[in-house]
Amino acid sequence: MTEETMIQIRRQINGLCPLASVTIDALMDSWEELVVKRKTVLTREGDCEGYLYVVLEGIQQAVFTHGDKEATLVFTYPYSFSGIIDSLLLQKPATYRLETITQSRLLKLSHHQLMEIIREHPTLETWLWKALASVLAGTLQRQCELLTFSAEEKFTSLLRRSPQVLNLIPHKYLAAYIGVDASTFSKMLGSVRV
Amino acid sequence: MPVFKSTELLGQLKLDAQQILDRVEMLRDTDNETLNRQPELNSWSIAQVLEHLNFYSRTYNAKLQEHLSAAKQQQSEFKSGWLGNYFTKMMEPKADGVVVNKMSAPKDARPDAALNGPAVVAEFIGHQHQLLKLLDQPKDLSVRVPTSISSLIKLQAGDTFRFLIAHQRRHLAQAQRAAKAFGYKW
Repeated sequence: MTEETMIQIRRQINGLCPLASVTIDALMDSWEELVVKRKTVLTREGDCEGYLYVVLEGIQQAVFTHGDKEATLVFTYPYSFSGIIDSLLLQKPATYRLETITQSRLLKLSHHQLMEIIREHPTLETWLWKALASVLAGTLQRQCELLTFSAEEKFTSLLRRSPQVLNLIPHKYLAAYIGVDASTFSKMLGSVRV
Repeated sequence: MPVFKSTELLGQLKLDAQQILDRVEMLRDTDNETLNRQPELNSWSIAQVLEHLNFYSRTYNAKLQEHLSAAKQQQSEFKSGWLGNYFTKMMEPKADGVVVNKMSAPKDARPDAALNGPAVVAEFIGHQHQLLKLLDQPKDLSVRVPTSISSLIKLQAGDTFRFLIAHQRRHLAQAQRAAKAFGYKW
């Protein structure tokens, strides 16, 4: 991991809730790097999530399957956290899966290690609930938008919130994410003012 | 029958094998009593589950090594065979982790009730490192490897790997349920 990457990750962690250096050091010392090919399932439906990940390179998605329908719940990309968070923290089987869209490089921390670090550095637990609150807010917001926004509004909202996704994530996945077909998405790219 | 890109299939299998190894490595410091504890009568303990998996590794790792080292270069695609795919599918738990078809292990793959737990764990870890090395070889996955059922029944190496790992996942889920049943945090 480069110096630059480490700085980015520390910034990401601190940005949510400042932590003592010694606590961030404990995390940084425990992460293990993992390289995974594209279209690899990191966690299957029915498995208990074993890891918290930080994304260094590549894109991943959490996908829920219902019969022949599939829905992407979230994309993760550098330097977001990844992993099926509810399964990880509740230690219950995941109801959706986490897979790579592109070749990915991740840092992984096992559930066991995470719990150990929290035991030794209790402030990490504060950080954790703030992170969860943030994830929950985003999830609820998305639920509101999916239920009430028009295709154009969803498109605009996506691009205003995360403009970088246009360059990172193949458009067919973005189209599915906002529930429009790929050709509609392309048309909106050409016509909608962001 | 499913067709895989060889590198993608091996990538997935290596990740699965590594996750299984990570999980079992957490048992390194577990005491013998816990490892041998049966959740209920006639249900396997963690040690029995791992010993059962060791039986398969002892049988298959060597065969895979032998046949892969003599095999040609890896092809870009691997086409699963009917039987290999069938065995693999039979192993996989359903999406909610529930095992569909309960099977009895073959007689010679049934472990004793009182085992040297730590030794079984150590042996599993050794076999799994070997398996990971085998999955790293850029060899032709269509090469045929005899099964433990009969040396006359041969599956392609790619299917053998798929089956072995699906089998491990199935049994690991079983071992985790056993631990949960007697309240051992694993």
